[in-house]
Amino acid sequence: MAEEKEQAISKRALWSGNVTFGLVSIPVNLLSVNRPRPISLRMLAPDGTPLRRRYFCPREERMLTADEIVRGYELDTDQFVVVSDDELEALAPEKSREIDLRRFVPLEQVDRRYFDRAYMLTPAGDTKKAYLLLAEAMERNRRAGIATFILHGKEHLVAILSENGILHAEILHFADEIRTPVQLDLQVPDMADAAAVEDLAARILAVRHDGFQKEALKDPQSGQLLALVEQKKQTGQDVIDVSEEGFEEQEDPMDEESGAKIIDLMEILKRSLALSDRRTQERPASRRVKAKGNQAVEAPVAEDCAALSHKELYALAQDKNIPGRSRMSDEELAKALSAVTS
Amino acid sequence: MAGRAIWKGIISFEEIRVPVKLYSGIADRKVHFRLLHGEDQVPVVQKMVHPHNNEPVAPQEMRRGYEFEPGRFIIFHPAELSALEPEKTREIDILEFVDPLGVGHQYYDRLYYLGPDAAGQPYALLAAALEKARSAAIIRWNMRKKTYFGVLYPADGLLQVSTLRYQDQIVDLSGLTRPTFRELEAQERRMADQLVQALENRFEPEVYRDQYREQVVAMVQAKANGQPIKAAPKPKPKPQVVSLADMLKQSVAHVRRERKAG
Repeated sequence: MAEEKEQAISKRALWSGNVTFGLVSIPVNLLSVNRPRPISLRMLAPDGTPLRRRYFCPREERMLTADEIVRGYELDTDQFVVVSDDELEALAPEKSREIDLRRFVPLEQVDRRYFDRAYMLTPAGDTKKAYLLLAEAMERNRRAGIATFILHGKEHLVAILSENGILHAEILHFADEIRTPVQLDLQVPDMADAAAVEDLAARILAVRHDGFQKEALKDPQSGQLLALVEQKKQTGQDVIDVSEEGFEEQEDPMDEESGAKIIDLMEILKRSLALSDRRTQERPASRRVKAKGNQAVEAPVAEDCAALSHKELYALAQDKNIPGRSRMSDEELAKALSAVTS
Repeated sequence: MAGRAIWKGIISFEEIRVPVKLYSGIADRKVHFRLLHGEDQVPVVQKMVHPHNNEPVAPQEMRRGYEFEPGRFIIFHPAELSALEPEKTREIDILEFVDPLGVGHQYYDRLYYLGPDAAGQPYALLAAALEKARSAAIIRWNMRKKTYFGVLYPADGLLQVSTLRYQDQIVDLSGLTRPTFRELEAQERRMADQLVQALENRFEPEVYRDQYREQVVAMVQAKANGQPIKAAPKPKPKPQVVSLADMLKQSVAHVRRERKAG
């Protein structure tokens, strides 16, 4: 049971790896806390069937399958160098699996202009003790951890913030991505009249709040759209049902966004933060091996693969150097793995 | 790379009106890859296809719908959607003045600069007054058929805005109870504190460079020149230690040694 839950969490995770705190490796899953708009519209065919994203080769004038597509880096106009997943991983294998916290900075120094995207880290291993110990220590000392790591083939600067016993990961821009006023040719205008400044500052302070009203941050459009949805549902106008005609709600492997769908993040979080007694017994030696699983775990045979999450299968496939692994489904990965191990 | 304004608007607060130009504060420098057809290395074109026959559907034939139950959609016609677009206006409304630290970090989206769009007097006044009051303003405006929220704050005499995400785009974590662990020992806590303190430093984002981007570019150049690409060595297993407290203790000693040497 517990294994299944762990799997459900790591399937939702955008990244799984370790936070390194000194010599301690803390297995974590990275989850997004930014959600898509609550009401997002899909592109449909004239008959109401949701469309799929596919890739087309303009030279051969035909649709391509996933295994015909490669990634290329543009050197000069129209001249590409094909880059494989293996080659990209080989460039920085450690940073692809680790957020190495070697710098803790005072919280108030973390400049919010750098914030790009918000994520959180949930504990992933057998024990949550090290996770909690780090979270508490950061909170007690009012420090944020700063590091870089690789997510989706790109290096990111990240600030790890601890709030209420939970580690948050804020992906930051690199300093050279923040434009400066000089680059933009922005001139600071002449000083305003001191008395007028004094007066306006006093008026601002008179109406200022300490906390901001996040309830005000409402998209007026989604509210109106939802009202229209209700109205149409009532009257049955513009309702199309395609659920009968072989409609399959499956994740489209060629659509990156569908994999990131988070249905009930709160449930996942509650589960992954729950500290059940037996599973939190300290098992440092085995945890170390598990966390660094790549060289220590023997590749299991096909039956065992069925019990593994996508992340675990992928890690094994990485180890065994299985070509084309990034585009394989779980079944394909399991099959390929059993072929190389048996 | 001279700055080009992407939008113009007017901030208003009571009788004060500040005409401004909006500039993007972010320059994307991440590595970009193109998807190619492997065989002929031609960049692929994205198409939306019907899943039954894989035939592309022309944009003018596409419909837009909201899936309220699996497989059941409510269709929205183009006229209905355009009727929902926010009013086209240049007004930037100040909703409230707040303590800049009171805005949750999860809401921050993207940095923009505001430059004065006329004589700089009202602009300088607002920037200086916000600075003096150590305050930020929560603002709202309509741009590109969308309503934006932002937090407006002064920096070195200039006004900056970070756009804010809508409330319903942030997972509300207030319902989570704080995880507790009754077996955390005082000694472990002490060692963890010592390690955090041993690694203390200032926030200096400029010391981090996107080295991976440089590595990717170097690898690609080498590959283009026909040089073989080396596989990186496997990471070495780290020493195994017995308990969490011991690991922390060794870590602290290690960091202190490094700092002394460095």
